[in-house]
Amino acid sequence: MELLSLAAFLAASAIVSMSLRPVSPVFARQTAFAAGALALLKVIAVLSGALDEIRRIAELGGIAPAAVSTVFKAVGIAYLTRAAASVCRDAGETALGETAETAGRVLLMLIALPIVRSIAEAVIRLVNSTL
Amino acid sequence: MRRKKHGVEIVFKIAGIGMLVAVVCQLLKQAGREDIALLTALAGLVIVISMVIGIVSTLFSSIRSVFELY
Repeated sequence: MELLSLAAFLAASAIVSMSLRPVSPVFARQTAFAAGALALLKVIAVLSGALDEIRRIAELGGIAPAAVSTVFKAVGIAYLTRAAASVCRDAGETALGETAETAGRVLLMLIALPIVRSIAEAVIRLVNSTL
Repeated sequence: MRRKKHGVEIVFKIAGIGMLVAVVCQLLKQAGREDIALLTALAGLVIVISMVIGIVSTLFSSIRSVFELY
């Protein structure tokens, strides 16, 4: 429920930023960045409780903790690169935002490679055992 | 890890600094002190950027700790 007041906060900061823009555009941008970062902080704080619950459910199903933590890492990288890219895009630097997203994609691929490798090994073992 | 508590009021603080700096800049420009107006704008920008960087660094470190990115 505390996230509901976040909507009001974001709307209020949008109004503040909008009314500040004709006076000094730089400070309007800074206000928007600060509001966005604060809102994301609150969301992450709520999300961390949900993540603990998801980890417990995964333990119930007998999923390896390493796999769950890889998925969480991927989600975290996605959030970080998205935040960085949207800040870049807001500042009018679209190219920098695209580069941040590319860096995030490469990092995600690096993190996913061990899982792909273990799938490939499982498939090869299966095929070899049936032949 | 340093975990500072950031309140909502920091956003309005930043907006207030922005308005103050804009008004002071206008006054100084009217008085013909363009160099001091520039310095004022620069000082306000540095103060605000240091605040924003504090929030962003808290956000990034909290995302890193929640999602176990090291």
